[in-house]
Amino acid sequence: MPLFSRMLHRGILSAALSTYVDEGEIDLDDVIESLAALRPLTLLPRFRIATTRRGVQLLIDRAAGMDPFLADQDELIRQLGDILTNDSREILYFVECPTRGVTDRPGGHRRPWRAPSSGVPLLLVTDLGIGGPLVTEKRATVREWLHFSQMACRLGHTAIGLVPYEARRWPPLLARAMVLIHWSERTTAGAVSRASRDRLVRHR
Amino acid sequence: MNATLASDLLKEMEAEAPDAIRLARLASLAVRIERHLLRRLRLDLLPDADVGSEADLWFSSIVESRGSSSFVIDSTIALMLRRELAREPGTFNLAAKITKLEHRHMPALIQLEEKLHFIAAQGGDDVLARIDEAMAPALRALRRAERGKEVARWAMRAMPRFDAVVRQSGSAVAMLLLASELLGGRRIVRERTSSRAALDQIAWAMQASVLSERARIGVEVTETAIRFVEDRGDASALELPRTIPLLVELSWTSDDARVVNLVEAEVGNTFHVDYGVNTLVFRTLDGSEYLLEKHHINSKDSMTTVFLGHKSQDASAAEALRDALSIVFGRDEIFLAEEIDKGDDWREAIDKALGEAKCFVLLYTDPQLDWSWCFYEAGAFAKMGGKPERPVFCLHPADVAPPSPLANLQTVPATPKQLEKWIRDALCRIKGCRQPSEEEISPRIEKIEKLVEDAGPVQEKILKPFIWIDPPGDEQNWNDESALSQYFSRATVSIDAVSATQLGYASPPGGKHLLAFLRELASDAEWSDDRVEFWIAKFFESLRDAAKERLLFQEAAYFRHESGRILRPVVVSYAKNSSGTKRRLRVIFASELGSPLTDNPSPTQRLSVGIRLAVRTRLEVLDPFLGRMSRVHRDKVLSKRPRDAIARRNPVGLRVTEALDAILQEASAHGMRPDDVPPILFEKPAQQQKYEEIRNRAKASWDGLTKKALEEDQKGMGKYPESERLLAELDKYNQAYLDLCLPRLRELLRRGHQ
Repeated sequence: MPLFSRMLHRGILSAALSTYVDEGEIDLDDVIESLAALRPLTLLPRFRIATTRRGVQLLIDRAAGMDPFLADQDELIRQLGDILTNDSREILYFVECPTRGVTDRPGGHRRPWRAPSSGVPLLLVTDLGIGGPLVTEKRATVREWLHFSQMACRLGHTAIGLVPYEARRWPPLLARAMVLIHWSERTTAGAVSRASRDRLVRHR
Repeated sequence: MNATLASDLLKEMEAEAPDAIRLARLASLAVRIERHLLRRLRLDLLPDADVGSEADLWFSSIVESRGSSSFVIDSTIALMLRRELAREPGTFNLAAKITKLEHRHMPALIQLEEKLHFIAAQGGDDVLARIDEAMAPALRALRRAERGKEVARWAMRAMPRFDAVVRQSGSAVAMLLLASELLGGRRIVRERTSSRAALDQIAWAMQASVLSERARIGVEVTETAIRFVEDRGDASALELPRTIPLLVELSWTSDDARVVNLVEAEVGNTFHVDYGVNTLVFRTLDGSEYLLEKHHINSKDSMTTVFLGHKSQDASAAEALRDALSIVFGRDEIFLAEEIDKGDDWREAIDKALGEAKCFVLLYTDPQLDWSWCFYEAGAFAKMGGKPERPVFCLHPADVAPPSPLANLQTVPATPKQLEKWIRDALCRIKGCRQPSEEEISPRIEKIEKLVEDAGPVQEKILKPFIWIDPPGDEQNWNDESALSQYFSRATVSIDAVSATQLGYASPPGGKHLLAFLRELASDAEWSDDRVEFWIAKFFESLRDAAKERLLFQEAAYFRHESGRILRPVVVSYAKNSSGTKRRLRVIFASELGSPLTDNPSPTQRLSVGIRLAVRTRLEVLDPFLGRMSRVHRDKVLSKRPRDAIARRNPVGLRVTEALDAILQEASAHGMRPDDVPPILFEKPAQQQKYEEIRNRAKASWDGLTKKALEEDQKGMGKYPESERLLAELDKYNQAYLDLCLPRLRELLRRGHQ
């Protein structure tokens, strides 16, 4: 019983990981307008289309707080395989926050996080430190997450968080700084598209 | 975790994460809760709960242990949750079905454990039989060499986690004995084994090796209990197989029914026996039988461990407390003064008990009572030297402060937590006995809490809104009607914040004079300097009566509050100092349904009230008595029926005059007094003249009737010719009044409407 059902996961993940490129149909109106104004056509204007061609860097939180969702994480990796080829997805693991280092496999050797090529979205599967054992000294702070999302943004990446808690429990600062998606069986592709669009509007 | 803490935790979590607790309830049948079970329960049975509730439960404080793939709920809490779940049979069955399905690949013993949780939570008359049936395969496996130890280890882990009913089944008892044997004599559960199962139910499962070693244990018998003691050769003793735990079947006949119990024969264990039973039968696991006759032990001959001090009116509470404390002490160990035999030297008996007792328990209930004798006893106990660590406990209701005069006093408020602590930490230590189990102690705590609280003082709650009225200190001639208003007008009002708010003030007005205070409340106050409003005058009369300590004779004074409500100030208590120089009156403001009183009614008010009272006169005086006074006399005053005892003492004439007087009082309260000058109600002189004529004649008939009716009563003949004549006259004028005034009222109302 995965959180994104087998029927819907393609739509949801595509909506979450799509980036926009000027590779659609030729924008004839723009072409005519330029020619009528006697402007040279240096670039062929095209419509923007959504694509997952850039792939994704999948960052999976293996802190204790995500124990209840370990099986869901494994299922998500499998689901990503349905929409992305192996060479367009990089899977990394971290504990609490990627700023503390990442590994190539769970429990592997930790190294500093390195950003992928510019424009590749970052999909973070994490609880943002909301849940977990009552007493823990290692819990990630909002400041840590904020630092990470700002760093990602500066490097030209969109940080998308899949969070298994309702929006009312998200730290407000992080909800503004990242695209956060409720990781739940109730989530729809439409809701994810809206969340991504809202972020684009916010950052324009 | 004890039950109180578990209950607190559940309440806390219910408030913080309600969906997580609902999920926990659904999962409580499972021994271990894995992700897939949790997800299935949530999606199928709690579709409105968010996925986060899974993690909330996973990391909650009700979890006893957790790994990366599953977790286990604390056993006490799981037990509570299962009981709650069982209250909704539909959901309970669905949760059980899902748990069984998701755990179908689990080891058989885990599945058995979950099945037993289900049966125990479901309950029913046949619960023990179903438990025995479910456990039979495990019991058989326990006897097989290849699987025996595995099952024994399971029993050691699972048994303490079960509902007590499971442990009381015959199969569970047999399993405890066999598992202990297999694990080298290790005790399987900490709590004492006690079961209603008969020995025959478990004998089939016992192996000969279990029964080979022997042990001896002494038995003391009292009026209502047996107690196992070291066998010193001076008491009755049993020889029984040395099982762990040592078990013996104890049976007796009570009310023609055989009562059977499996009892743990461990030194210090006390087991209650029905009162009045004389013969007890002990049967050991190897089938040996012992017959024991109870010998009656007189309390004065036994050793006192606890001196229970109390007021005589709390004797039944003290008796109940002794019963509840029998979880630790034998009945004879607790001294109650009222059980000193008549003829004995009670002082000597008390001194002896005080000297022997290891602790003093004061049942302190109501601070208003005189506790000097109890304090004396406690003081005497404390002063008896040479015996260290003899504590004085003061058991008191939680909302009653303990007394201060006792030294070395350990106060025990009657709350579940404090009582449990007291019994476990103090009383069990004094007695030197083992700790009672959760199931044993919980009902006792509940009982003690209730009996102490019930014996506590009644708390008075003052109705609000109320005010205190402090009349001026100068002497007052209460009979001087003219000075009455002036006197009470100068009285000072004190009011608390709640009452002030309820009466419409933003904050309590300080030191206000009564007249101004009352006028501020009333919506139609006249604020005249030379006269007080009618209802206020009536209220002052009430105050005067109250100050004469006649709280029953209060004038019906009510008014319309600025909010629109009708309120009636009622004097509810009166206080004064010993010299009588200071007085205070407490007045509450009660809601009233009647229309507010007035001293100066308008013509419309006069007509509407007058018509209503004319109808009332018809219904209450004319219809029941006109032409029927002699018959009422026969039916009521001459009646021989026992039920008419009161009726016989009330002659008919008195009944008529009382009814008339009540109507007159109401008319007067609304500003319509027969002795006043007739009001102008009609514009046309002929009508006004007719009205005045009716009024005068009706008044004459009324006055005549009140006089004649009593006179004819005095004659005692049961004949009322004059009264009947005057009633007929009154009827005529009453009808004439209605005929004249009803059209006039309609006219006035229509005009007002236009």
